[in-house]
Amino acid sequence: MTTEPLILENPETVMELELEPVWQVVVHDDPINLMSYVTMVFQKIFGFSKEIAEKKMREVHVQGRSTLWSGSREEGELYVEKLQGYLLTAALEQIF
Amino acid sequence: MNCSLQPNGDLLFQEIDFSLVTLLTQPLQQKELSSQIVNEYLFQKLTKQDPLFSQDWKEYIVPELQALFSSCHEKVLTDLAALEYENPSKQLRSFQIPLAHRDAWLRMMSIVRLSLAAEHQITEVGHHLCDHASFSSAQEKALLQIEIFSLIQQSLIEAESQ
Repeated sequence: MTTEPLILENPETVMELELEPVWQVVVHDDPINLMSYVTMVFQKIFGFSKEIAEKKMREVHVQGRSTLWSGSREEGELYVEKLQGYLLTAALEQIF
Repeated sequence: MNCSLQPNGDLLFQEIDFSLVTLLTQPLQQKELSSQIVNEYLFQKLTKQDPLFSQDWKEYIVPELQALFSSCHEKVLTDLAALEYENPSKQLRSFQIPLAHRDAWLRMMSIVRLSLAAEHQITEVGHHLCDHASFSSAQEKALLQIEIFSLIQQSLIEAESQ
């Protein structure tokens, strides 16, 4: 087993990866969709347990919004499309 | 109107009074139902940080959502046809939501409720039917329709959890 330090050939590449922007998928409250419907959609799309889905739904209802997921923009776009396919007001926000 | 879950997963709605048939079918027969919702409602909070994303969304995602909603709309209208073509002399009617159409109905119930709310400037649903003295008759009718579609959607949600 060698103990030689790892020498990066191109450290700038690593730096770029570290600065990759992170996006989050947010669902906003709306006055029409049923709370049970919102819970069901969260379970369907994110695979949440009923307890987690209900907690997120209550955040939406009480605080006006809830963050459902964070990660790359491409994946976030897919989640937003799926949520909007169920008529929830979903948005994509850049965290940093 | 009563609803029962069949052994094969279909939902059967029975004993629908003739007066309820119009309330149920009329809003769903509007051709432009889903496009207004996609254009005006879903787009409003999409993202404020990236104009390019909004542009891409309009170009690529909107047509996909339109196609999805259009397909859902067709399935719902097919199922509702049973209400129209049953024996006209029959006072109480029925229709069935096949298991394979459940998802389409779930989406369409939200679309039609959003559409009615937007058209009649209804900003909050719930605890309103007993306190609607200031509503015009068109709003009252729309509220009643929203309640009916809520009941159907709730039946679908309960069936999903079984």
